[in-house]
Amino acid sequence: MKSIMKRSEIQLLTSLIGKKFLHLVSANLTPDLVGDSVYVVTEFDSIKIGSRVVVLNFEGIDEEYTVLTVSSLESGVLSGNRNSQDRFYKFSNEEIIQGYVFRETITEYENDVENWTYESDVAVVFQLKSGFISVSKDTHNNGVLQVEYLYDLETLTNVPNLYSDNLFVTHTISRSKVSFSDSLEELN
Amino acid sequence: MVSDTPLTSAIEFFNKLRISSEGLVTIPGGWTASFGKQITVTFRPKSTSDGSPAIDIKNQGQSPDNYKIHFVTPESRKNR
Repeated sequence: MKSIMKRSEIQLLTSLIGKKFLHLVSANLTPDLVGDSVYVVTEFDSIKIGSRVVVLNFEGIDEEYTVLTVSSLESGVLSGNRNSQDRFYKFSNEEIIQGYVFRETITEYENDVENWTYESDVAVVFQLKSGFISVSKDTHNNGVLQVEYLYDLETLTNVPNLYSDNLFVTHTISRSKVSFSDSLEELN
Repeated sequence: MVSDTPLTSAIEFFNKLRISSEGLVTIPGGWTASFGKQITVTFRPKSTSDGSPAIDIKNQGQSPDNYKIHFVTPESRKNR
């Protein structure tokens, strides 16, 4: 089962590379930067990174899974007197140098026999001069996003594994970092 | 979790779990409370999968453990 972002979404992310980052906007983040969506605002273009929950059945039961979404902003959505506490200025005025999609592949084995494989995009990361801004899934299932400011990509928080209540079931997890440009090429 | 009143039980459970959280925000179809970066509790009155109320607990703290709890009636439990 694959749950990765569409080409049009990667193109939107790519459009921010080379732009001057201004701030993040979200009226819906906790003080720990947990919420459902965030706007990435640059000097020219801005995008919304959000999540939706889809129901999949590859584990043998209907279960909810978080899917990352990227969309362009509806006009006027950021205009008006937004509360200043909705804006997050860390790394402001720095150029977005590069961007990455973090992709995770989980394979489940039961008594050493493969049951299924689930591949999904778990984080979008923007590289700026001083550090990184990451928007990632809080978990695979809750439809919630986590924003992180990082100075080292090695410290990016991993998404917790899927649930299992069976002692004979094991999961292997592999994670890869794919630049936006490589991701676009893969989707060609 | 089986209850004669799943939604009431789920709300009660969520309200207890979110005590002392550092923030509560609405998300599509529910709410999430955070306790630092490593712990979140998410409540959806109507889950997308089977329509039952559901609570996700992410605990990536010192003893990591994650749970998803569906609140169902005894009748719907029998039909699972």
